[in-house]
Amino acid sequence: MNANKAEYLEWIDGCLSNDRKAQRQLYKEFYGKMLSICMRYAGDRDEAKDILQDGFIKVFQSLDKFNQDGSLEGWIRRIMVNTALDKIRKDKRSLTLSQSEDLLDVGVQMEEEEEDLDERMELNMKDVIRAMQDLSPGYKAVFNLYVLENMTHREIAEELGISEGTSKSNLAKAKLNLRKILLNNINASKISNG
Amino acid sequence: MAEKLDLFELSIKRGLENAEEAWNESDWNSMEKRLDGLAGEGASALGSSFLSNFGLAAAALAGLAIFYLNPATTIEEHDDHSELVQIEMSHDDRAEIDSKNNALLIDTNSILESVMDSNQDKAAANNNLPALTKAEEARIISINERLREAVEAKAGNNDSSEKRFTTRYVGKHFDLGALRSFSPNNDGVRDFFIPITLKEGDLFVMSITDDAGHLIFRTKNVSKPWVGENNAGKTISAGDYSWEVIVQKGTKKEIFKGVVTLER
Repeated sequence: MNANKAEYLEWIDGCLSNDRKAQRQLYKEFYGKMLSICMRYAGDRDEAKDILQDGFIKVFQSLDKFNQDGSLEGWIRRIMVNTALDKIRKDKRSLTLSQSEDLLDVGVQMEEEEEDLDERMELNMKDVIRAMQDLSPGYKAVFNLYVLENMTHREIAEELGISEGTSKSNLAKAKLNLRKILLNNINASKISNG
Repeated sequence: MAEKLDLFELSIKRGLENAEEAWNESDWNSMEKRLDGLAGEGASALGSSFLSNFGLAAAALAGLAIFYLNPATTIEEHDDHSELVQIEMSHDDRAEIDSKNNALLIDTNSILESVMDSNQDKAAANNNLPALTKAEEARIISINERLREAVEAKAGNNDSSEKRFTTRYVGKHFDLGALRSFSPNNDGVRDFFIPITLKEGDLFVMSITDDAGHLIFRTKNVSKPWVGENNAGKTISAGDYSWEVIVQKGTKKEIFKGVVTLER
């Protein structure tokens, strides 16, 4: 992100008159960041790109409604997140069902491993994103909204049409599963590195 | 306010917050194709005509807006920030809703009825499936979903509460279009609670109970909604309350339940 506000306004003007060049500039400016957001909600890169493209269509179509005093990035981000959530909502059941191959039952064993992981918290973010993609849609959505969008369980419940309790348990299970996946990765890389 | 994050959550947040994927020109190429496609659809693909693609029929009751979508609707924004919502119903009905300050003013029962009718038609077409509520549910979910997109396109980054209520998703049952919260302070916005799809003349009884299960209020009349008082007229304090509506439809009774937050 390196353009300044004046440039943004210029691009927005261009986009509003359907100027491809301006649209490309805007797209390119936010592409990297927004795709990485979509990656967290998607099951794989292709799905993330679908969300990104759908999101940008909405961005271009509603730029005239953008309040120019606000943050353009924040606005685009919100549209991306909503687009991602729409996909998840379409299969509403996935929000409340627990992951079929639940990776663990209770957190007792995790308590011990927890420190282990925290100590080596130099996580490779690519691994984290991949691990997140492996979570079930319901877990993924709640984890993203809670941790990265700073929403409360109450807000998440409202946003996704689930109960606050489901939101809380989805977060807890998402975290347990994430840890498990990450620990496995760390251990696997330890073994392969000798 | 967001709750405090633990160490694990924080480290992931920090790591992911600044993540950025590398640029890929071919993604822009496919984007450009889609934009070309949109432009080719005729009318400008921008702004409110986008909304008309989704269509938006609106029903409003005392500041509550529940939108039902159909394919021929436009929203015009006026200079004074009011909006003119034009709805073309399939039966050539036309309703106009003028809204100011996000409060939609006109009740369009006819639209609700039309939506209900079309549900019933659909159910009838499906060999009179008894699961009418399911059809309604699916309908309402898809309506809300498309509405959300439309509102989102319109409001963009607007995080205000009226956007939130449009994202309501119905639970197991079609929820009668009930508000999630209301604030009886006579400001003309969400001053009372009554599920919006209940109509004058419907046979129903709505009961409001508190956490402990005590009955607070009961009504059988849409023109006597819950205004945050008990049946004796005593003011009830803010909080979450359960509502239950039993609707008599012919010989059948249907029960709807939900929770509403009373704000003070």
